[in-house]
Amino acid sequence: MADDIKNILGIDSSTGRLSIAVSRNEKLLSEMTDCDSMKHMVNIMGLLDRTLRKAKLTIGDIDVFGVNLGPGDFTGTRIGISVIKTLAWLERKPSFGINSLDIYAVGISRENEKFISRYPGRDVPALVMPCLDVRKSEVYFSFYEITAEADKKHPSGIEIGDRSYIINKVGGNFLVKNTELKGFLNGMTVKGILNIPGGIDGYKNSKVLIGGNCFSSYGKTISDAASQNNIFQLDKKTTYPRARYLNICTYLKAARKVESGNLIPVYVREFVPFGGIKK
Amino acid sequence: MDIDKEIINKGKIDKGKYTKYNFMNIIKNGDRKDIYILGIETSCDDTCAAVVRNGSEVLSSIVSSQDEIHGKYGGVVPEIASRKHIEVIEMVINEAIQKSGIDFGKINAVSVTNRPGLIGSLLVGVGAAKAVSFSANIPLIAVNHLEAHLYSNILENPDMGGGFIGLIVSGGHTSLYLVDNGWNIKEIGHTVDDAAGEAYDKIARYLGLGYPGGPLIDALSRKGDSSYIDFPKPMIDSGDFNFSFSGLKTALIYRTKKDKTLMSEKNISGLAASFQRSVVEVLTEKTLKAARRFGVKKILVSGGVAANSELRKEFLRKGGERNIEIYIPPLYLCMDNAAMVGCLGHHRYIDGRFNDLKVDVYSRSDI
Repeated sequence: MADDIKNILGIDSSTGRLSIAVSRNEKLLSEMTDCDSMKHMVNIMGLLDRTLRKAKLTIGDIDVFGVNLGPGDFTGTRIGISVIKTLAWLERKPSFGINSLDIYAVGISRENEKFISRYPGRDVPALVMPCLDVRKSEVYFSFYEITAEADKKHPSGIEIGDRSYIINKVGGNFLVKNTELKGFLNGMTVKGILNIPGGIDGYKNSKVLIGGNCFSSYGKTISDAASQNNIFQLDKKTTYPRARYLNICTYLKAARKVESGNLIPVYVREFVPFGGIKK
Repeated sequence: MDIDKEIINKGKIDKGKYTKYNFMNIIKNGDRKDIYILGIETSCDDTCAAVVRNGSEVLSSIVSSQDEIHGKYGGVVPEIASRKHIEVIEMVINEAIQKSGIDFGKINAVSVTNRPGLIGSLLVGVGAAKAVSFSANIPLIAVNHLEAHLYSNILENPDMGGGFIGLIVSGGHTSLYLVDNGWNIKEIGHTVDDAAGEAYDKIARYLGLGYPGGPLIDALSRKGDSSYIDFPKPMIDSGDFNFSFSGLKTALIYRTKKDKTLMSEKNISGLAASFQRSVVEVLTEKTLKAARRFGVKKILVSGGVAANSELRKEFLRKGGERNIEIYIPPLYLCMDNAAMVGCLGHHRYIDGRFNDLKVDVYSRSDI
């Protein structure tokens, strides 16, 4: 169906790496990354231009825009949002904001094809837990359930390897002190049953794949928890949100006909200046 | 910091990989087509966009103020400012285009403040301006906020010309500039501590009046006797053109601590009027001295504090006495606005001075 083909441009500037990708539907056309963490403002348009050229497209060919809304670095995230929302407005095209956790979840799933392919299909979902270091000694995470294989047109279906799976978020987002993370993980597992607060009653025989950028700061805490409970597996490689996975999230949102626009950064905590208003 | 290095050589078209400009023909052919500049300004707490025709006609000037939000804290909170900018930026630009009544395709260039200011705030405006430049394939012009303030009066008096002393006085800046006939700008003085507007805000907060402090103290002063307390007039005879308002603020605080009745309802207007008189006296005297020293006959006052009724009155009175023309733009051009950014952008545009899309933002910068 020709009118279903959508060119997607995604910018992720929420971390020290600036990642920009162009996709056609779920297929990646080009992706470029700049690791010069303090120079997003300087590099963003040049990188955007090069990514478009590599995909042999111009800005006018883009049908859908996507951007990482965070949680992430405050200033970095705003650079990407400012550029994307202005581009989308001028090009008169829809734009979608994606939560960092969603991008990590897709990224971790895609990067761990072997892990994913072992579980679904035997009534055992695989669980993916992107876990972010959000400073102030806190970690921010949520859970995603990857269930049985789906046909490729399923609105929540992502391709991993040569198969397609349904990915859905389970429960809410959690903001936990790093010292309480181990307790939280242990509390989820009683005799091999996983209980995700706010999720369904429990998972038997499931495994949780933990990934995200939390390993550099809290690698030991997580490794300790994982060594005590063999239901946890670790992905230490997926440490930044890549724009190619952002584009998959954007594609899924566009396909589900979610309302576009209204791009406002996601912050994990309420901002209280000077420790509160003094009278 | 040598910002000018980033400005692409005068008159040369950037043949780099970022943009392909095709507008030079317009100038070369001597075609007298109208030039439309989109201005964007987000250096502090106001999100502003404007469309300026031919460098002097303001077709639209939109200002989305955050005063109410920052009022709770008695001053601008940088993190809140950038959070609010990012929420409204494209809506403000869109409104400026809509209100201007012109088609977006007519815009010749986008001009944006990239220095000096709050980094988090500047990034939002410059990011949007880069996207506009990239998408519409028009040149990007990054300008200095303070220089734009000096250009604000051109919008009112297109024939004003150079050869004047410029006083930029606001919540963030208090600086004196010598602008020669060729519009070469030289800073001759600046505040060594608080800006005048900052002192107003801090005093208003101390007296529990609210935010922004300028208009509140100004209103209160009109009811009071300005000779009630003889406050110091800091650096009035310093021999240079620098300012200082921190000590005046401290003087007021010490006086009220010694004598609590000064803050009573009966006396507070006298207190405010006396404080205001000191500020106004220093600003007017030093600016007029600068005009005499450099032998110029014109003074331009801009920035948020130029809205102060006493400052306007005193400048006009003293200017009249000493035969010096005083230019104070109307309120909407004194405060932070994007029309002045568009005006300066126009002059850059006709000079062929553009920036490439690598341009960065700077918290501090001289003109």
